[in-house]
Amino acid sequence: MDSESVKAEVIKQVRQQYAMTNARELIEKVNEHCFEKCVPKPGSSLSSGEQTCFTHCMEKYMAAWNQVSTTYITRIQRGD
Amino acid sequence: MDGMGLTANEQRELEQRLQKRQMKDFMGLFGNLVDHCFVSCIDDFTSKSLSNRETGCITRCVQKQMAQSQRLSERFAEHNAQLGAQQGQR
Repeated sequence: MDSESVKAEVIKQVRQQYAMTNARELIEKVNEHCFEKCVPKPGSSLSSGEQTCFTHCMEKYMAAWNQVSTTYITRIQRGD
Repeated sequence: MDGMGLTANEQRELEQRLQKRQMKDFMGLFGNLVDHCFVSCIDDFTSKSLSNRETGCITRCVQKQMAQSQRLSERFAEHNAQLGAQQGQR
């Protein structure tokens, strides 16, 4: 393999590795926030209202993630 | 070789490690940014998509955070330069 392919391969592996680590941390954070916001008084099981809240919370977190990405990239590209 | 006395292999290894580290640091910063803006901007979970207000809030949050970060870097560099100049005078 020439050095360009080696470099591309390394970058790909690093990205995959950090996607994995990132996914784990992401899930932990989402869990923490959504539990705090959706389950103020924990019972012995999740009510259906709480489950719905969780779903919405997760969706919103991912949407927030995407929004942050877009804004971040736009700002960087502007060269500010 | 080069001034640092590293072989080509060691040089490559060093670059890889630096790159990994940078990536990790960046992802950490990014994750905290999302986290902070989420907590600050989003409180209503009756719907599963972001309202216009929430989207605007997040955008402003990111922009402020980035501007602040940049400003911090600049002040820090100025401060360091000052320190360097003072030490040079001794």
